[in-house]
Amino acid sequence: MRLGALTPLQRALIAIALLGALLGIMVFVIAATSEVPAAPLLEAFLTLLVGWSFIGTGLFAWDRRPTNLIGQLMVCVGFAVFVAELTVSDIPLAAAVGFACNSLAVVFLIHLLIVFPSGRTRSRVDRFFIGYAYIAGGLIAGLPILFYNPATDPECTNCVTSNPLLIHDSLDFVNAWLNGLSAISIPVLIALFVHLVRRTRTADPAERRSQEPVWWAGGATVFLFAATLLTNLGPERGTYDDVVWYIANFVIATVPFAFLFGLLRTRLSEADLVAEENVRLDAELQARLDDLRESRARIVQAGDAARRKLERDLHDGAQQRLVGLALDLRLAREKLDQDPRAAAAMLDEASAELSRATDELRELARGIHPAVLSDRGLEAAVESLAQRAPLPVEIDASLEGRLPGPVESAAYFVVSEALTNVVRHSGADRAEVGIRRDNGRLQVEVRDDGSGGADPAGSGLRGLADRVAALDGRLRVDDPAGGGTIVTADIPLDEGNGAPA
Amino acid sequence: MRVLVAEDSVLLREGVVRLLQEAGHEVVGQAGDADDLMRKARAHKPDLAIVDVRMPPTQTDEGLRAAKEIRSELPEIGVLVLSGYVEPTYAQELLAENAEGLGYLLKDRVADVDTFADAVQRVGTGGSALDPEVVSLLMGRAREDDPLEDLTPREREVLGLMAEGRSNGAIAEQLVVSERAVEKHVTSIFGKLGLTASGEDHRRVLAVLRFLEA
Repeated sequence: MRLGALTPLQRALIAIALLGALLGIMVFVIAATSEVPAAPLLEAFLTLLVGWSFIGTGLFAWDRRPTNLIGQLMVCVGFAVFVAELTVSDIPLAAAVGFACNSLAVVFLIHLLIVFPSGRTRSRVDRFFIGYAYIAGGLIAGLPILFYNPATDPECTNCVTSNPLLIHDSLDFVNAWLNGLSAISIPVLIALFVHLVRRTRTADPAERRSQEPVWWAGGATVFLFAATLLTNLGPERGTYDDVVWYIANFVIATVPFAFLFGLLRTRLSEADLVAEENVRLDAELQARLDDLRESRARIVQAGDAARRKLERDLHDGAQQRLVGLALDLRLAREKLDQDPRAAAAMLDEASAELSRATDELRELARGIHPAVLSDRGLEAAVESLAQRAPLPVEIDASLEGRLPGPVESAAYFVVSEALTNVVRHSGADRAEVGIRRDNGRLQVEVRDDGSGGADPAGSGLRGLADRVAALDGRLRVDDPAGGGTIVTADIPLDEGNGAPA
Repeated sequence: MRVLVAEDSVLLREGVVRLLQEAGHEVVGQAGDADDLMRKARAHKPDLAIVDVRMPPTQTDEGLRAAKEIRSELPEIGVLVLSGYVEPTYAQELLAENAEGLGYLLKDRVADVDTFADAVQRVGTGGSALDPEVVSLLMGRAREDDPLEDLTPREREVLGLMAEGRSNGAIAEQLVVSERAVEKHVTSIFGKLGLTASGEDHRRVLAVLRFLEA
């Protein structure tokens, strides 16, 4: 019931968060249990820290600024960090995938850095750098895995011995390819750095302010990319790897928070604000519409079910009795001449049966809609419920005058269903019903001292929730710490619900 | 006894009229709605008015309101209210001050000719008649520390019949015991419940009801 308050976007974000948490733990376990010696626990832990930081802050930013690409990019970085950590795995395929995707995190970071904080590119230069990052880091840096055979690499002492992605063994080609990439990429990165510095210097003060925390991140990113290219992929592999990685990871873990801080500090332009608001409202509206559609369908179903039950009750109850009675009367008529005493006994039995039939009909009518509710209002009707309840029910009601009909009905059926549940399931010794008008709203509370554990998704409570929601109200079911169950309905008393204007 | 019958269902009204006539009463008028009832009550000043709760035009509780009006305007007329369903709330409203010459019965009771005739007789002569179903609802209500638990089963029976408005004689007849035995039960019940005994049956009804409603 409470999940219904979430927009579809928020539900998706929760799913991504769960996925991120799961992937992080999976990668951590793979890294921590890896038999490759270059996989110390500390590094696995750092990776977890960095990945979760990005995913967590990214999701937060995504939720806050759904139209802005920043949050999504941050989440991508987080996931890419986890995938890259697979390089230390002792599972050959996982390690190969890790190598192939090793630079993705940096690629997303560069993209993030360039489009921060608006999420949009501002010039062709921006687009060039982003394009370069994706091609160089995403594609070209990953390709050599197809030609790299760890078995023939004399320097690869700390890695798995096979590469399932291998199509041709050529260590020379791999080294040449990566050296070439580094040779081109380093000047490009320097150019990017210059570009960003210049952009900041020409920015207006507000924008510059929002970028401040990001410079920290930018510096760290460039540093990491350079470190990645120089140590991990370059010819000097192994020399400074550990130290560079640890420092870089610690720095990188702080980056997403810097981004988040900068993003939230950014004053949105008027147009952006309106757009954001629209997206948010759209999402909320859509969620409400979905809820409404579902609840309308359930109300129709509940109506059908109620009619079916009514039909059964009438058919199996009163109607059977009346048919039986007609037979009895016919038999009594035949006996009348020969055995008047037997006929009289049968007639007595018939009138007793008739009175049972009327009792049944009366109870049935009462269940459909108690007359006392329309005649005397909510308090009297609830009082009548309490009188019939098989356990003591204390009523604390302070209503003056009548309430709008639909509100009275909904509130009555809340109390009725809740008391039925109390009797049926809770094993309670007593129940309390509170009814009060507060600030233009009606508040109804049914509380018991039973074992709790009422199921809000059960059909009775679900139907009530729909009924209350149809009046724009809310139904809650709580199991407080002290035991028992509290069912609360909160219904606005406004014009839409039939209240006088 | 001169009786006025207010009931909008012709079928039921004619049945009641026939029952009353067979029991030797005189039906001085029949009414189909509350206005008609008030007019005829003022005109005929019957001993008893039998009033259905639901009548035109709103089919809610105009009979009940008319009944209250008769009791305040023409207190010498006994009023027997018939209802398709029992609600202690209505009984409480009707009996708020005074149970003298007042009855509240489920419509179904009409079919139980003896009970109905007995109620007509009682209410028409200043007594009370409260439907057994109302009484059983009031007595059966779940309470914490139920004072009725102190009563013996027989005393509960007697209490219920008292609440219905029966006299000691009628109770004795119903339970097939002597009137003396009933008096003993009544004294014991009043003692256990902390009520003050009262001579007249309709006052006794009120005392018992107030106790049960508390």
